[in-house]
Formats: sequence, structure tokens, C-alpha cells
Amino acid sequence: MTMAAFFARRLIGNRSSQILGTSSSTSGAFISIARAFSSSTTPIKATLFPGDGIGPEIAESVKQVFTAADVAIEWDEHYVSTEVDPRTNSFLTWESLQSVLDNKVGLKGPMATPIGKGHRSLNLTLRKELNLYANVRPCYSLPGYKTRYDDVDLITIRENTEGEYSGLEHQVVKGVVESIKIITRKASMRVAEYAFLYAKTHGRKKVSAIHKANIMQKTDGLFLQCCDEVAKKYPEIYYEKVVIDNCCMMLVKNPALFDVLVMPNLYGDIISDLCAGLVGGLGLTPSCNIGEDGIALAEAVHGSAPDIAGKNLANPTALLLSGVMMLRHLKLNKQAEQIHSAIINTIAEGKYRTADLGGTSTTTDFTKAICDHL
Amino acid sequence: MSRRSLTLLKNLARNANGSGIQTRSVTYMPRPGDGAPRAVTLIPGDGIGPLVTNAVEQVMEAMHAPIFFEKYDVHGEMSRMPPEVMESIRKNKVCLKGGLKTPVGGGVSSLNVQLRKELDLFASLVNCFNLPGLPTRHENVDIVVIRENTEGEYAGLEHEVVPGVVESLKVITKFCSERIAKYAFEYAYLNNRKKVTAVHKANIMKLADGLFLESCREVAKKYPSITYNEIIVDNCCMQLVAKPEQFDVMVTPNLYGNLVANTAAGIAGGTGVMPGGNVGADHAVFEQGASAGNVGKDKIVLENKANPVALLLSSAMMLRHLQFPSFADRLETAVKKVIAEGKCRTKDLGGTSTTQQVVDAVIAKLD
Repeated sequence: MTMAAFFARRLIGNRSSQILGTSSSTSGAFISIARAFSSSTTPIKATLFPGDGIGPEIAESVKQVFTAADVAIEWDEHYVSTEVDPRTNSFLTWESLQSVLDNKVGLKGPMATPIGKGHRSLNLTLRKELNLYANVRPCYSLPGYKTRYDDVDLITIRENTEGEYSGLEHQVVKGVVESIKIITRKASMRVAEYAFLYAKTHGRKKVSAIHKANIMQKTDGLFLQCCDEVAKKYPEIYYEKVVIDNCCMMLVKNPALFDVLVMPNLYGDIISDLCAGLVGGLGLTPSCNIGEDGIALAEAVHGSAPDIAGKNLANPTALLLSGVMMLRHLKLNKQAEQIHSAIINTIAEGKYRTADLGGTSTTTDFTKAICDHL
Repeated sequence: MSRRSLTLLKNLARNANGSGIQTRSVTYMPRPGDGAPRAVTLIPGDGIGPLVTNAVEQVMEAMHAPIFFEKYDVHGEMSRMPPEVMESIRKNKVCLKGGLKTPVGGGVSSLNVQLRKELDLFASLVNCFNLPGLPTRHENVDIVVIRENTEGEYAGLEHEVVPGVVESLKVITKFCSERIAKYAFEYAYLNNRKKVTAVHKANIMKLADGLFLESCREVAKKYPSITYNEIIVDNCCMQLVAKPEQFDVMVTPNLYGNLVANTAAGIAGGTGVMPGGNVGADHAVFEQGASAGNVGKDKIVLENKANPVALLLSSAMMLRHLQFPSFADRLETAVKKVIAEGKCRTKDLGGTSTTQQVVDAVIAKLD
């Protein structure tokens, strides 16, 4: 028994260095060590935060679909506690954070931040503790769900740690407030590297850097410089720079012009929500936060909808699509594709749709329809 | 009786089928001497600027409007606005300009921004509306975006803390927020608008945008007949592409105003047709409404395919500002008729005409 363990440890040691050694430091982050010897019998552990409101119902949906698709994932569920944990200074417990750090992948449902003082917002806690530096949001038109825009297929990658959201504000004198926007080379390089790597691994042809460097010359100028440098390393990908006001206008007139967009924090926030609006709203948009050391936390960005909580009316699409993103991150592409097609086909068919898409199905019916389509 | 009802029906049909644009008689009682020609500073600018300002000149000529232009040559690469231009604007109080190209990252501060700061043109206004006859994805759009023009993120205060770390300051003051809020509500009041929406990101930038919101709320109390609400900027952009009819007048700080104005212009037909201007306590500068593509692509300049509609509609706004309402109405009606007909449209509206063809069509439709 101990001999077997000894050999197993040596095996992991060799293979992990093999895997991590062959790719650059950031792409190595894609492959978690657990993958090295996961088979259909050894499940991958992933953290699940069902969240509040409709969270638990849609998390249940995800679990059902994943089980039906034979995805070998063991869920490690954590809930937001009702009191502040002094170790994290927020409602998220230390154990929850440790779990994500250990498992390296997670799925998060909507969390309502309780209003009050003396604690950090839940999203801020996750972001800071897990060092989640890039927020990736693919926005594509769902065939069968008609919006005014039919040909949207783009990905927004947003820098998630600094920029205008550094939270550094102060009142200079009464009636005069300053807010500081910080751009660093390190963070900009990180997100630019990730964006180009993502474009390459997902077969995307174009990366556009969005900025306002004609006015904010030094800050956005630095961001652009970093993007320029990374672009040189990927000559096969077409790289362009677009001023943000131009970008907004082009997006609403002709979203097919864009492919991958990389931007600093504030512009990213606005543009990613704009793009979500183009395809049907936050109820249908997946998203994934990438952190250092290959951590990926997929999340549904919609709210917790307390008014329909517990009534089996919620639309699980956003969380399901986020789960698919998580699977792709884990390189379980076959199953990701399976589940993705099932979801798309169910919505395209139109027979089973939840209330927000104009239908009358319940969450459980919709989930069952997806399982049937697998 | 049947003959009478027939003519009545015919009239009804004609009005219903007509381009939807009705001319009305104007009863405007001028003061004696108001008809004397006014001087207006004209800055053609870069790129498509000279083309479209030329279009305005031609149309003004054709209308015999009581305006004469003092033209000045300014280009975006100049480091400062020439003093004689500033002198002229201060004297005339009104200016019409094409876009000035700001070199990206070139270390030259934008001349557009400089002009606004020096003349203290604190309000920038863009009117985004569906033009009858121009098909867009969104209907019932009629939004006016009023944007604070002097401070906020465009304060231009940046420095490198250590190599690789750069800071930029966003400054919000009560003074500027209050005056832009006052302008927005006054605009709504004077133009019979029912709702003012403040756009912000105060959940993250609590002090800065919080101060802006406070000022808006205070001013809102003085106009109880106007509905006031607030919306976070990312939600706002999402709502703009989903349900733009819910917005009426929007008041925003500097950067969000830029984004919201361009998004609204995009959904209503593009920056080639939206009028706008900048106004301060003493001066007004009219230009193309939304700033994206202000100088256009070189190809458009070479082929003379720039869209003059935006600047023509802005010059109509300028004529009203100068208190020549009937000329403004005639110009607007002619432009709208040309667009509604659909025969003469530039490339950005899906047609193939040149600038000159559109201008000729407008002049032909002037009554």
C-alpha cells in the first residue's frame, strides 16, 4: 500500500512537471494537476456556491444535467454564512475560500450582498482572496431566442483587479472629491496575455483592445502598450485598437465586427453588460473569472431574484452555460460540447422555455428537457 | 354631402400618407433689428470636417439665412487653439465646428477638450432620435444626453508613480455637478420633457458619483413636475439596447456621457445623423452630436461620402439658439424630407450618394 502510494507520488511528480514544463507559465495554469490522472472513475473536485434566492434551485439543475451527462465532478458545496467570519472579514467562510484554492475550479450562483457596514462585499472578497484577475464573458446569439441582434459572437475579457475600481477615493475639500484610477504594467500584461492565449486556444481570429488613450494618455496608454507587446508574440492573430466611444457605437450598429475584446476594468464592466444586453440579458450570459495558478471560478452574473425564489420558475441557463465554461477550462471538451448543444437545442426548439424567455415551463421541466436532449 | 366627405377623406389620406412632417406657421415676434446678419465662427477642422462644414455653408447661402461665417483653419496636431480663433468665438459667442482629430497617445492634449475648458462649455448635448424613413433596429427612440463637459475623468491629471504604475485622477466637484444638473432640468422644463435620468456608478465609486447624485437629487426637488430616477451605467447600456423608449433626458458625468451618447446615437441611426452641441454660460459651440468617428475615415474623405446630416441638424439647433426659428424649421424639415424619401443617402445610412448630392437634395427641398 505504501509502495503504491510512493510510486503514485513519483508518477504525479514526473507527469506534473512534464505537463507544466511544456507550456508557458500561464498556459500551464490551464491544466490542473488533478487532470493528470483523472479517469472516468476518479472525479474532479469542484467547489459549488449555490448562492441565495434562486441560487439553490439552479444549482440543483446544474447538478442534474451534469450527472445525466456523466461528468465526473464531485461537488463541494459551500453556503454563505449568516454571520461575518473574522478571518475573511466577510460572510464567506475561510473554509469556502480554502476549498476553491484547493480544488482550483468552482461554480458560483448569485449572491446577494447583505447591506451593512463592517464587512467586505462577497464579490470583492472572492476577487481579492483568489486573485481573480480576468473576467471572461462570451456573448453569442442563442439560435431560437430572437433579439434585435442575430449575429453576435464575441468574447469580452475584462481586467478585474484595478483600474477605476481600486476604491481609492477621498474628499479633498468640502464639495471636491477625487477618485484615483490605477493602471499597472503587471496587471495589464496579465490580462493581455490571457486574452491572446484564450483567442489562440479557442480559434479566434481577432483581438481588439478598447481604450480611451486619446484623453487618458498615460493610463490607457500603458494598457495599450502592454497589449501591443503581447500582440507581437501572436502574429497570426489580428490585433486592433478601438477607442471606447467608437466601440460602443459599432457594437450597437454591427456587433459582428468584433471577436475578442480586451479592456481595463470600467470599460469592461460597461461593454460586457452592453454585450449581454445584445443577446438577451444577464439571465442567459455565462461568465468565468480566472485567477492566478489556474484558478477558474465560473459564475452566473444575474441577481438572486428573491421574488421568484423557491417557486421553480427560475431560468438556469446562465449557470448551466457557466458550468460549460468551467468544463472547457478543465479540458473536458466532449462533455462540454454535449451539454452546450443540449441547451442550445432545447432553447431553439422553443417547447420548453422559462418565463423570462416568454414561455411557461418550470425550472425542473426545462432541466429535464435538456437532459433528454443529451 | 358625399362630395364634401370625399374631399375630407382625401385630405386625411394625404396627411396620413405624407412624410409625417407637417409645416406649421410660425408666429415669432422679433425685436426690430433682429434680422441683422450675425457672425458665427466656423472651424472646418480635420478629416470630414471641411466637407460637412462646406455643406452647411451652401445650405445657409441657399436659405439666405442672416448668418455669415468667419472661417478659421485649425488642426488637431496644433498644441493650442490659436488666440485669434478664441478671440473670434468670444466676440461672436457662437461657433460651428467640424471634428478635430486628437492623436492617440501623442502627448498632445485634445483640442476639443481644451476648447471646452477654456470657454467653460460645461454642458454637452446630444439629441438621439429615430428619423422617419430611416430603418433601425430600435423604434421610438428620442433621447437627449446631457453630459458634464469639464471635469470627471477628463481632468487630464495623470502621472507615473513608479515605472509601470500610472495614476489618473477623476475629479468631481459639487459646483460642476450642480450646474449640469440644473442645466439638465432646465432643458427638460423648457423643452417639455417629462423625465430626467441620472447615470452613475455610485455603488463602486461611492464618494465621487455619490456627490454627483446628491447634486442631481437636490435640483430634482425644485422641479416636482419632472420625474427623476437614477440608473447604474452598466445597467443603463443594457437597457439602451433592449428598451430605449424608457429614456428621455439623461444627465451624466463626463466619461459615462461619452459612452451613453455614442450608444444612443448608434441605436438611433448612427453618428452621421445626430445633432448636438456644447453650451456654457456665455458661449455655444455646435458640432456633430456624438464624438465617435468625428473625423471619419480617410476613404470617406477622399470619396466625398461624408454624411452632412448631423452637422446640418446641429446648425438648425444653432439657428434656434440665435433666435431664428423659422430658418431652423425650414432646414430641419428639408433634411428630414430628404432622409424620409430615402433616395439620397450616404454610405453610413446604407446609400451611395456623395455629400454634395445630399446637399443638393436638401437645397432642392427647401421651401
